Amino acid sequence: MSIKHARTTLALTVAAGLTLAACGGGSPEAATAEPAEASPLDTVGIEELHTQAQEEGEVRVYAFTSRIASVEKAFEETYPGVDLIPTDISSTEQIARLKAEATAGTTTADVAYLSDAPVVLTDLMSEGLLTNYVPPRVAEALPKEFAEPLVANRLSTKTLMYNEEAHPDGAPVTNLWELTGDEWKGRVVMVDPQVRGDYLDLATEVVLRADEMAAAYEELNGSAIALDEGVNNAGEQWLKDLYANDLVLVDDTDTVNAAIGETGQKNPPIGFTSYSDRRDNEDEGWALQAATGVAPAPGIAFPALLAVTKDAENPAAARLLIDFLMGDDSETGGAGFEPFYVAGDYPTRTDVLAPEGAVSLEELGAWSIDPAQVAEIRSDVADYLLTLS
Amino acid sequence: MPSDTLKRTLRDPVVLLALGLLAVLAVLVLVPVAGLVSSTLRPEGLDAWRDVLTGRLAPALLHEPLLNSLLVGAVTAIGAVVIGGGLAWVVVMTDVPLRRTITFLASVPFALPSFALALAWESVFRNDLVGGRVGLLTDLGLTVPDWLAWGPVPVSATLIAHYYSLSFLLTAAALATVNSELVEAAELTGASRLRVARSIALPVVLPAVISGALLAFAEGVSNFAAPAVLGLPVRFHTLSTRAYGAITTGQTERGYVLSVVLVVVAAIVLLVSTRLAGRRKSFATITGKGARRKRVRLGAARLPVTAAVLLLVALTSIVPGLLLLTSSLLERTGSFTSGFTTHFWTGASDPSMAQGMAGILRNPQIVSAFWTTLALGLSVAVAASVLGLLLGYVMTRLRPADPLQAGLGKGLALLSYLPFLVPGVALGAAFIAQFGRPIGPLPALYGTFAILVIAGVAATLPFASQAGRSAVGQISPDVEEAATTAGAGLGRRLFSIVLPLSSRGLLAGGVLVFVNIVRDLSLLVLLVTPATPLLSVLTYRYASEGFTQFANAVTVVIVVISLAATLFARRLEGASQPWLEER
Amino acid sequence: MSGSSIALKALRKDFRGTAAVDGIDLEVPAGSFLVLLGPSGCGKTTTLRMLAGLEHPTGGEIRFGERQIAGPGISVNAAQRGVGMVFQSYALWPHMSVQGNVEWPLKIARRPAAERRRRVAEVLDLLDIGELAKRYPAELSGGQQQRVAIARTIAPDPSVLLFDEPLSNLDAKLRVDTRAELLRIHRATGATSVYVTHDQVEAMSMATHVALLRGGRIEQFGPPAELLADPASDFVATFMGTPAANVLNVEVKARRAVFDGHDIGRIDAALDGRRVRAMYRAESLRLAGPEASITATFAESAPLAGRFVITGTLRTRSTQRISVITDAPPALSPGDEFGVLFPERPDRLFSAEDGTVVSTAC
Repeated sequence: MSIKHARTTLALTVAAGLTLAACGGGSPEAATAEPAEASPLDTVGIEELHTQAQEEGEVRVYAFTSRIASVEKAFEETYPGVDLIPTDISSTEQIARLKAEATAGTTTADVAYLSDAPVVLTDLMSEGLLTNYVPPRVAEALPKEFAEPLVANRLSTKTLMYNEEAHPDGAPVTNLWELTGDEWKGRVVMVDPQVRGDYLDLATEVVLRADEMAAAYEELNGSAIALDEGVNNAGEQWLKDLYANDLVLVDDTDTVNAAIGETGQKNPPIGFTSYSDRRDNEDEGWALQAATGVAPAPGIAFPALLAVTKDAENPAAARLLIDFLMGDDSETGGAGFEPFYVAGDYPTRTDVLAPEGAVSLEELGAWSIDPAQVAEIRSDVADYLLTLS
Repeated sequence: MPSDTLKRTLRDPVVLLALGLLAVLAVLVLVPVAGLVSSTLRPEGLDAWRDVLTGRLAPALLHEPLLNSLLVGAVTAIGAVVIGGGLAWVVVMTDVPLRRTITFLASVPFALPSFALALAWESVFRNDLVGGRVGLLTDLGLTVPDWLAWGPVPVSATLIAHYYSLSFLLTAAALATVNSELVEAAELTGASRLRVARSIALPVVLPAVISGALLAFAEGVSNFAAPAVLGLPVRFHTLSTRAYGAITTGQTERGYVLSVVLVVVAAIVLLVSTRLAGRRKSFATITGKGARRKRVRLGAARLPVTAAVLLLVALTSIVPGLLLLTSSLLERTGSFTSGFTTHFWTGASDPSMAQGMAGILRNPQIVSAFWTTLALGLSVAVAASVLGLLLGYVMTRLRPADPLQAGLGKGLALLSYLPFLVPGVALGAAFIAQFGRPIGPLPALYGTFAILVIAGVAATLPFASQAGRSAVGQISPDVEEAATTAGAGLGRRLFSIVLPLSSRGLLAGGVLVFVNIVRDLSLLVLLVTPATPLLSVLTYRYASEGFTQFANAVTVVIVVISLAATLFARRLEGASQPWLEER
Repeated sequence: MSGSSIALKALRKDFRGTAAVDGIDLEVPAGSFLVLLGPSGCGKTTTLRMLAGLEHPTGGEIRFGERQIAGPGISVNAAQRGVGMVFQSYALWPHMSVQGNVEWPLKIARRPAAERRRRVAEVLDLLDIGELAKRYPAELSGGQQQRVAIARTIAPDPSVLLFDEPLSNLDAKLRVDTRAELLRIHRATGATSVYVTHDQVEAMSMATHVALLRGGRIEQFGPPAELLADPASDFVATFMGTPAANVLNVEVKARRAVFDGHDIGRIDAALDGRRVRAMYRAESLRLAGPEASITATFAESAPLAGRFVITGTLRTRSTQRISVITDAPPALSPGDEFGVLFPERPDRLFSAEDGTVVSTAC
């Protein structure tokens, strides 16, 4: 009887624990709340970090990209005695896993490298599950928005791409509102924002930039935008018109790439995808090119975040790794940044040159998202999109 | 007097075993499900319930996806049962030639990832809705309507092609035990073969058929890949795509609410189906009377039936299998005209290809992942089959006349059916929370191989318990009671009578579990650590980076392992049951 | 082991609130051959399964000798009861050879290997199936499977042998042979046997005691001859005997039995104005020409030990089957009309209300 009783109690405890794990949420303001107590390690030099890291012996990282594997060798050569143990795991799963681990009072990662900034800030930062570490070495070269609330080492994009084989003279579109016209009816492709967070971020940014959207409308049509009933702003109106224009939704970025980029198409579609996927043009037989000079912007740039986990077992090694992943003092960021030094992605450090083969972020004109602002209205935009599809 | 009855019930070893299993299922299933439910009962969750059930979002979040899910699930279940059951009947009961080949090929589709079947569909039917490459028919200048290229038709068709395998394996195992006298007796009455199949063989294999239908239904409603690939372009959403989408876009509670809806729907389907099947007596076909097997002669129909059957299994196994293999050999993803290369298998690192990544066979991780995958698959298959046998046993032996026992049986059936429907992320998170810290004298299991096994067992429980149930359901109670009167206790009976007599069905179930574990399981992605690399995780890694060929190559390795396991199990089965051999 | 006496007291078993066995009392001495007889659904198999320990009684008790094996708060499990059971389906274990089937219960009973071998050989010999030892059940004929099932049951030397319609799957000739065989085994083992059947011929030929069950109750319990000679109710009368006795609903008027408006004989008891059920044994009736006052339509004639059982349907308002025994084969074809002559008095009278005996009017 007592065993049975104990079991029941246990089950209830665990259930309650899970509840905690599963309830993230919290207000976006919490994201910028009081940071966790600063660690003395935050300010020590590299040598000191390395010495302490050697004592710790290893550093475990959850990374949303498998490219972390190629950092492993370089890191272990640079910092002998510190074993880097990477785990590839998507941002969504990292978030779930970090929350569940926190509930269980355990931790299996020292560093989290992840995207989905709006969710990270609301779900993890507000719970204190991640702490920021800005390597003093790069602090000066890092714009404030990429140093707080979490350090970002690069920006990726979801931006308007077209088929340059079909349009050798440049982008066929110079204004986002053109996508809602007859010419592009049924020929705009993107991943369903209800399925992928970065596309939802794109839709959200459009709404946040409603004023710019309204201005672009007027620029294209010569008259001020008239909003439909129930539509609050020009951003929402654009989304509504785009969906009504038979926007094609798919499940995967590569499907978008292939649809737009496939060579030999007479009338290829246009759509939103990652600028950096252009690097696969040759391998895959694509003709992807980013549209520049699009009013008001062709898409968004969003950060890849680095953070030390709560109660990291190897705090010194964790900081050492983050420092390494921010790149060395060379113009290209060196070995630690090499896997991420891809045309179409943008280093956050002002002292690292953008990779060749892509236009600069300024020239691209993509909006750099503010994760906190996006987080604030993201779920409302998701709900709004639900009413469209 | 009632307390006396209760006392006796509680002394009944079958009831005690059932209670023990209930405790196991509580840890494996109830706690995660309860966590799922309770997380939707917090303020954010209640908002999510409101959003889902009422208001302007309900049509998009719930009504349409629910209808679509039910449609896809029902069509998948019916299609899988009709095709898989019909095929099983042809293979087991008739003199159709090439039975071994057909049986083998029919078990291939389940070993294939569902995207391979979606890929096969696309390569034939894809039209120019999305853009990019089109399928064979459009290439030939034919107009493929959207309803044939996208949406419920292709989603259901690919899911049927995927899951008829399940139905086939379960039904064939059950049919193999049908006494041919039953069939002959019916044929002597002048009944047509179809009629015999319907009125004689069907009732006998009904438990297996229902198991197959339930599994196909659950897989149909919970499958994400097929509706995502083939449904989204025409905005065809199911509950699973909505739930997955909500979770990945950070609206976890909403995703969980949708999952709870899915769980409730599935529970209703389960209860309704058992009611429909009724508590009909004597499904048992393994009686103490020996049975000889004789096959129905197809006569003039032999040739056309053979051709149709071969076409069916070839279209669902060889074609997608070859497409998958070929896709791993293409220089350019999905382009069958731009040249072939073995680089993704055996190539050395070449900066001009695939960002300098070497072929998978040169990747030291793949070897270790191979062995870990194999070890995990075997451990889970064995553990789940044991659990499935015990579950199947108590579910068939608990007495429905006793309300306590009837309730226990229903509870166990329900619990063991649900894990499919709990999203991998939720289940995985629950396991971390549950096993992340030491429990009493037990160390924290999180990060160990053991937790992968436990999670794997939980996730594949539906296969194992349905297989166990249909396998034990075939055994006549007499055969076991004879052992009871001989003085054998429960353990002895299970080991010496029930286990050997259900081994055929259990092996079939074990293979399903194995295949499911080595294939792809989003749940495991949450639980693996670098110490426990798995092939499915490697696929995921490659796929998420857009290295489709690498991903396909690893998938081919997985399929080969699965098929090898299937063949091995078949051999084992033949060796273990000499009394069922044809003479 | 020799047999033990069996006693059932107020034994009952409910399924979902309905009584399958509704209070049974009986007692047989050690070594008896008790047949539980009755139509399907009468509770006989349930009773047998309670004896075996496969079902738990809802009430009442069961004793084997001095030992209570089931009763309030007591339920000796099957293993400790010393029973052996032969199932209707034989319930051989299909994955074990004949040898394995017979030996396994001995293994369960932890008999030493040498003893097991000896005992298996002994019972296989007793049943004359020694040469089948290596075969699997699927390779045996029905009769052979039956013998294996019996061998398996008697191998551990049970003190109570239970049979659940063991002959129902055999052909007629084999059935007669096997009956003799079972009796031989019953005697050889000295066990008390309990045998369930719906076939009264089996009961007549094998039983020392018969319990005729109906609706979960005992209709009559006694030696087989007693049930035949002295039926306690109309149900017993119509169930027992080859052929079973004829029972007609008659009205008593001035001490005469009136059936369908015809006077068919005297009634000795003072029952005027009452309806009763009158029993006439087939051998008490005689065949007559179609001019007789009560006639029947001929259905069939079956030879029985040198005489003939004529079966037909009475041509009265209530169509009733009737059996008559004659010495010579009748020159009748199905559909022909024949007359039935009644004896002076019915062989027995039963109450029309509850079927019990009204008077012994012989």
